[in-house]
Amino acid sequence: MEPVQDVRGQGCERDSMTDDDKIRGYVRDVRSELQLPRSEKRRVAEELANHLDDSADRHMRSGHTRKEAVDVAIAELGDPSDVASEFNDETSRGSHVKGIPKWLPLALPTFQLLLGGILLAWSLIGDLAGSTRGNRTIQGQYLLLVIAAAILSYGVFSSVRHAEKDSSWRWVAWFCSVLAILPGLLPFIG
Amino acid sequence: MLLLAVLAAGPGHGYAVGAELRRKSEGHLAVVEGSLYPALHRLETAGLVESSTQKVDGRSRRVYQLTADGKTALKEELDQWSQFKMCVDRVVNEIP
Repeated sequence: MEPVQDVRGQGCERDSMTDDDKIRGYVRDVRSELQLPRSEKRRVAEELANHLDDSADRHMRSGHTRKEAVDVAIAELGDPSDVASEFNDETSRGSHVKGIPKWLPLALPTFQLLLGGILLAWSLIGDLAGSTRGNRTIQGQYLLLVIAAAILSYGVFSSVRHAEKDSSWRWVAWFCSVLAILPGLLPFIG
Repeated sequence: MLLLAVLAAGPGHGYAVGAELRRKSEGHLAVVEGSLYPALHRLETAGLVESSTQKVDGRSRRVYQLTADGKTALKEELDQWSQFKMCVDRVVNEIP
């Protein structure tokens, strides 16, 4: 891809304060209407400011003064509200949560799945060894815990994947995660 | 599809992607500039592109590049486009 040549300060006088203020003002207007996490807002603001600089440079190469070039660049990018609303629409479709926070709802059901599996295995091994640890009722509850945790883990996993395209699925993921508390109580009931 | 196709040629920051699209289409295709960045973010959310911050021309830039999923998606889109184009060509070519 061809690098974009930086021609700022070349060819014509640059009223830097006024032009930079215009760019900063535009970016501030967009940023104020963004409904994104703070880090994303910063990223969008930086991208737009760089874009306006590049675009203004291109217009200067075609003979505009810096002032005209900045005005045209801003006009081409469009109304700040429209730009912000496109970002906001995109956010309402897909979740921006990434990394560990993205998979956090999976923590509880997965932990229960592992715990239930270990307890069930321990109990069955106890049975085989002829110890009194094994108890059919308790083993049944452990098995139930494992099955419920497996279903909820799958539910959370699917919801998190769906949330990549529709953020409302995050709620479903957290709902399934909270539900995992119930089978965890089973061994203590009765 | 067009943004993915431009990024298939190599990584680039937002403005360079728009400029490349304009250059390759000789000015006939130009993304509405205010829609370019939301579109790139949408592709990133969908896992079709990934971005990283790099210094380009002394400025800190968000540089985008295709992911493996993006390459697969582009191939599928190109196949669909070829089929669509072929169908339209067949209809148009029958005009006397």
